[in-house]
Amino acid sequence: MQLNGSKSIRGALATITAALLGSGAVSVADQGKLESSLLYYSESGRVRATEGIVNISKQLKGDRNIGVKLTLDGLTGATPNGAAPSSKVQTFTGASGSTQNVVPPGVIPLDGAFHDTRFAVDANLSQPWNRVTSSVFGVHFSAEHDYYSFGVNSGITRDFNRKNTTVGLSGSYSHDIVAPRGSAPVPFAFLPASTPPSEDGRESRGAHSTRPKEVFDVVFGVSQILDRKTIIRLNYSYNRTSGYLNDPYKILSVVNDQNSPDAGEPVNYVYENRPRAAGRQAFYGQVRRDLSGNTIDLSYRFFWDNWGITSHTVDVFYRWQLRGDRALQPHLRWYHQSQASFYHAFLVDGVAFPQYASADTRLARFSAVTAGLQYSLPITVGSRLNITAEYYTQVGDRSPPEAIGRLRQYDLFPRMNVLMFRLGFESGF
Amino acid sequence: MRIRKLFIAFIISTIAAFSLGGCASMGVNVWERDILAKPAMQLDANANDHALDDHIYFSKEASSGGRGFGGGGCGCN
Amino acid sequence: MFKRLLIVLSCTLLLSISAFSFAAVNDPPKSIKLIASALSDSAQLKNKVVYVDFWASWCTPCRKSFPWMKELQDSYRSKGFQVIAVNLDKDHKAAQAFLEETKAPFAVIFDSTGSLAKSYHLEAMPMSFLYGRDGNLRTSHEGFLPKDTVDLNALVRKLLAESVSK
Repeated sequence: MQLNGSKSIRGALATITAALLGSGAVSVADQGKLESSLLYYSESGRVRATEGIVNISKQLKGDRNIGVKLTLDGLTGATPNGAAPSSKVQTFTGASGSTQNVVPPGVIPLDGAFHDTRFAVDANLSQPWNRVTSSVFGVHFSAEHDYYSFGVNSGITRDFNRKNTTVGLSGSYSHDIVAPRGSAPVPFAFLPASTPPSEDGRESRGAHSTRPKEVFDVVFGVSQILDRKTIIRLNYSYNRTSGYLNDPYKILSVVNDQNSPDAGEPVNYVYENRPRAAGRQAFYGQVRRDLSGNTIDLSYRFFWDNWGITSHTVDVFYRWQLRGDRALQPHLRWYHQSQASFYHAFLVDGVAFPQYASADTRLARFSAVTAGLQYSLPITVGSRLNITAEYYTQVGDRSPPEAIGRLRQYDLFPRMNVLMFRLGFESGF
Repeated sequence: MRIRKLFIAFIISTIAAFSLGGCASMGVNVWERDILAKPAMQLDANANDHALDDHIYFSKEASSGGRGFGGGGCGCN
Repeated sequence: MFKRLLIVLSCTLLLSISAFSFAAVNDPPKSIKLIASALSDSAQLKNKVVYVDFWASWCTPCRKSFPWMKELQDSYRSKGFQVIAVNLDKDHKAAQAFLEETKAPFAVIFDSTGSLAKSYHLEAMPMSFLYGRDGNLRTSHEGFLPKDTVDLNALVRKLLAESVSK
């Protein structure tokens, strides 16, 4: 399942940030703040999703601050199932064993159309200890039909240098349950014969219907005011995820080797197999500067993990202040990642399987660009509306050098094009 | 690769150290935070936007983490 | 890798903390004379209990302290109490707009260059200084939280009860 619960902890960490330090901005009614957003996401020919977030924070007695965030999202559509294109029609049985997914020749197979809904709730409480120290504690819960997540998080910040410098440390832990439709498959198990579909499909699947996953995150950060118009921030983050990390619906094609007459044609399919643990780290640096009333923000993240992936993210936006407290904000993001050590677009028949393998393009080498524009306008005193449109595209290896036989003719990484529209409303109360 | 990572780590911790240390002078006076107090200068504003973005990029890319949290703002109280 | 990095970051953090703990904190002016000289009538503060408050319109706690300061000024004006609000806005229009909105009944000094703030070595916003009838500094207070008003009210009453010594 592409959009699953574990990343919600990162959302929880983001909520800590707002709770810990507030905005320091002047507001008319400053007892509480409401922020609600609606996102419409559309990948051409694939997944469509709608996500809504309502985020309320309120100051309590003793300068404590409580925040509650509710998230609801719905997904429909299809994503690549990991199999490679073929010159013949391919047929895949749905996870429940009752549906059939017929894929025409030459096309990247997508899994059957699905519909999924996820609900998440985050709550946090922040407490200042003194003028320069503050802590926050939060909980998180999310549920969708095949994934559940429970987490806690905590953080502390300390100011130095007349609050020109702020140091923060936060950590989170979550326990997730992966509960795939039709139970979790045994890694590298062969798929049952694609026609006809049968209850035998369950034989090659694991005995347990759910699998656990543990996620641990820690972030250490420093922010520093450089001058009246400039602030910079540097963070280091570490994540360790362990347990069931496979995508239970993803497979790989096992294709005829180079020397066979039908080189590159699939003879079999196997479920993917990923390591049971992942360690991820990132360094992040950001600078924001006021330019005569407009704002520019530039950030860079360097990421690496023990799956062999390294990535670079450069993100920049310029907020152009207009009359009447309106603003126009163009945004550009450039991303590049290397591939995981166990990423394989396909496996070869007759060759021993590697220890781990996955054809999930999320683990492949690709570049991505986001270009967007946001228009922000005040609605009443103390409330604003933000309207955003963004375009996101991923470009990968359409014809990797290891492609053999027929696979050389096909596009093994079709370009992903995404349109996103977002409506955001924020208000003090 | 390892050397490069250690080098980047060294650079970042040096910058962090300079920010914290010898720099009781780096920064501004408490009464000069007018621009930094503006909503557009708050690093942690637009939490929902960041949450939505993080969700999308986490499900389409292999990377995660980064933003964390920071100070700035008016520095009042 | 992670352990080593954590040690490096912790060490730099600890070293840095010790480094600037030696920075000296300068003392604010012990006499009300400096503030008095910034007023058109420097004698108007004689024998009064004076509450000097440094504020700016962009500072939320500063704005929140105004209703309380107004109440204090109105309650004790007849007993010889004066609030002096020193404004540090660089944008004078923003300060004026806020003052008109709140109709503050106390004296305001505009210090957009921050020279008074520098003389007072301000460490926080808002920051206030309470002077007794003898013109000497009795206490300073950093920041403003609603709960602070209890102690501040008590201190003002105590200072007002002191007889004029000159």
